[in-house]
Amino acid sequence: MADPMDAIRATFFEECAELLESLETGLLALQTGPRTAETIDAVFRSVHSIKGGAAAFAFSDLAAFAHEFETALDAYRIGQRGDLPHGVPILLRACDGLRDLVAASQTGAKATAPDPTGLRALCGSNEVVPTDPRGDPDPLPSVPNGFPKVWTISFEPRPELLSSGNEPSFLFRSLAILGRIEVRADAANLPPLENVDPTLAYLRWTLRLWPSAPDLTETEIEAAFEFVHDLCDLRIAPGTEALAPGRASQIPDMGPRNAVPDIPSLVPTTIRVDLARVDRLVDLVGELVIAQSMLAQDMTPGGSGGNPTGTDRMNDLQQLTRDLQESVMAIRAQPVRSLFQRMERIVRETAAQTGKTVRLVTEGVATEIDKTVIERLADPLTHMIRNAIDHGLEDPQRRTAAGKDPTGTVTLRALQRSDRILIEVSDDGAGLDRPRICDRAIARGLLPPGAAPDPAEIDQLIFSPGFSTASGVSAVSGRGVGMDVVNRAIRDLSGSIAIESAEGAGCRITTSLPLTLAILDGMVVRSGRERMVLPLSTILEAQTADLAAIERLGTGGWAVRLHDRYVPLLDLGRSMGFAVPHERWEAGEDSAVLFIRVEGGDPFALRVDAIEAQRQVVVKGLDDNLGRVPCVSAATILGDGQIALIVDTPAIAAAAGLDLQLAGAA
Amino acid sequence: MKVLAIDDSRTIRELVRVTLEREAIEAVLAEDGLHGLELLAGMEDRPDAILTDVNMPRLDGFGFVRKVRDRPDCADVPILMLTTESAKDLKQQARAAGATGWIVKPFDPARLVGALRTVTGLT
Repeated sequence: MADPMDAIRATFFEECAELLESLETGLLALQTGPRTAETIDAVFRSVHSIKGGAAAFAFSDLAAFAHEFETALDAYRIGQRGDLPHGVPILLRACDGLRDLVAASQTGAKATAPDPTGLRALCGSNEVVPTDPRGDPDPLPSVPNGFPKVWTISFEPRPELLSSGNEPSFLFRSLAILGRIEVRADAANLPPLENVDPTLAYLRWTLRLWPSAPDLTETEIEAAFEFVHDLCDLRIAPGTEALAPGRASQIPDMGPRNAVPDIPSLVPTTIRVDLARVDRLVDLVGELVIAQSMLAQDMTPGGSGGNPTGTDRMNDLQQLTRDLQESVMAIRAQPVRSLFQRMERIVRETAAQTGKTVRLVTEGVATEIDKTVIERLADPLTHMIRNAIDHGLEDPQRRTAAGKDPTGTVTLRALQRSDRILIEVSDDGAGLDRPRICDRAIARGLLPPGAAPDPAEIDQLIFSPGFSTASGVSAVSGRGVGMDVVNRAIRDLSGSIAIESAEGAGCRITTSLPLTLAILDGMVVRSGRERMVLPLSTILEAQTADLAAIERLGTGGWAVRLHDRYVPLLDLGRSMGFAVPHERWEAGEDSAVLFIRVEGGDPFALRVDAIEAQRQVVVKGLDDNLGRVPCVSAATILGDGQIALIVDTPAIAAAAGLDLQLAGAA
Repeated sequence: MKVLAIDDSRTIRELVRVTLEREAIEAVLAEDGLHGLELLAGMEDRPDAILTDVNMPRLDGFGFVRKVRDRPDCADVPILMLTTESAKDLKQQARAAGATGWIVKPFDPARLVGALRTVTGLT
């Protein structure tokens, strides 16, 4: 059987994550907003709870530091200090330190305990605070030589003892565990019955105890009276004192009572769901969507026989499926708030490392996005923010000289646009240094010498593998990854990335991500004998191929007119590597042209043999079985049970990059 | 034995629950003082003992103990407070509120169970 302690330890770390988040939120609120007692209390409780759990699991470094933190906070909480804002940066750093210690405790790694000097200075004392959060257990008194064979205990309760919920007979019962006891009550103080207040204690007691263990100490006897020390006069002495007059009685042996079987309680207001279960649910809903579309296909070609009831039922099922799907997706959706909050720390750290002053502005924190996406977004986002501060923002002197606020601003913004989530990282720095990027690209062989690409093309270069403008490996951005790694991470999430830069005004990187990775609005198309699905979000418009609008270029490429301009034309089947004749559209075959635009690129066109349907498809990953396949992002199962590949349109554009350039040059 | 245990930390609640259930003691768990009062009000029989944390949102441990003591049927129910500090004034506050005793966190499971047995007179 699994040790329940392991599960509780896991609970502890989950809780720590929540507590750290609320701690940071609270501290940031204290820095900027009004200082309410509630916020200070909440902040205090977060640290307090971490300390309590840490001590329970003997994470002593963590517990000790949490204790220091708590002591500093306590000074504010009980109103000893009124000047909180100046201390918040120290508290935020302590929060970072606490986070590191939690992580170290979780992984078993050895972490250096953060320096508590700042915290101690905050609470106005530099004295060494006792770091043992277990309190101050009294040292055991030395055990006298020769253990007494009998003890005499004189126990005189104060009148109010009963109102604390303590009951003398229970105390005696716990003494009886230590050996045989004899109890005498002294009822001298008992008033006449009509004057008895049942809430008051009137009796005094003398007990004799013959210990069953020969080495019983006074401390062990005292322990039985632990909770009533302040509510009684207690004398414990070895040997037999003259007993006060009264009735002696033996405490009857109390047999064990039947324990009530456990009944779990507590109706929680939120649920915590194992991600694997949610994934299973998502899979099931996927199957349901497939079944529904199969049914739909069975019924449409005259199959329903114009039966309105059947059609109605079908509509109901369709609606239900859609609702179910949306609500299941919602389980996985989380606001980006926590992700954005984590970035506060990145900003603080990077600002400190680079000596720049930086303000982080977050917008749209309530925007929800798939949990997996959020988790996998943390690294790329971290890198983009580091870049923005390290490379984008100028140092305060240069900013002042340029007439800007010496404090740089990095803005993190999330917004939903139809079925995509956009995450923007922007800074008000100097913008991309395009001449330097060009020099570097030429030096790295990414551009031919003497090339004069246009600004947008230069900006794209920072996503090229191995590109980095930092001449040395800086402590901040140079962690062995460049924007190409960011780009790949985003692409792996079926996302795309675009950059805009304005000289002297800053830079904005926009990441576009799907709401969910599980279901896609797609267009089912046919090319040759293959059916494929194109993500609807990348399709600008679809037209019947009009031979008059297609031009053959001298280089062997093709272009097609989209309104008043020509865009490169590719054949979907050929791009995917199928053996289809290149000149089919010249033969005037029925075909269609889809105009595609992917984030950060110019539009292009894809020729397909036919457009079959527009529908939602369930994304089935191929990676587990086939690894990454060029130009294929995933597969799906269509209504007739056939498998269709989902086309990775950005990859098609990238693979045809050379063709696009040639077409442009021709 | 049936114990109402109140702590705002999920970790501590779980520790208490496991500790008690290992000894076949029924644990009813609440997240803060108000929640504890709600559960208490909903119980057919009062619990044999109450364990409560001190520092909690909405209604803290001291306030909770005072409220419990105000209920005639609970005036003498044993209440142990779980405190992280063993500071003397905290004990005095606990006493003033009407607590029966206190356990310093992190608690030794045997000690917690022992204390519960002591104050309830139950095994």
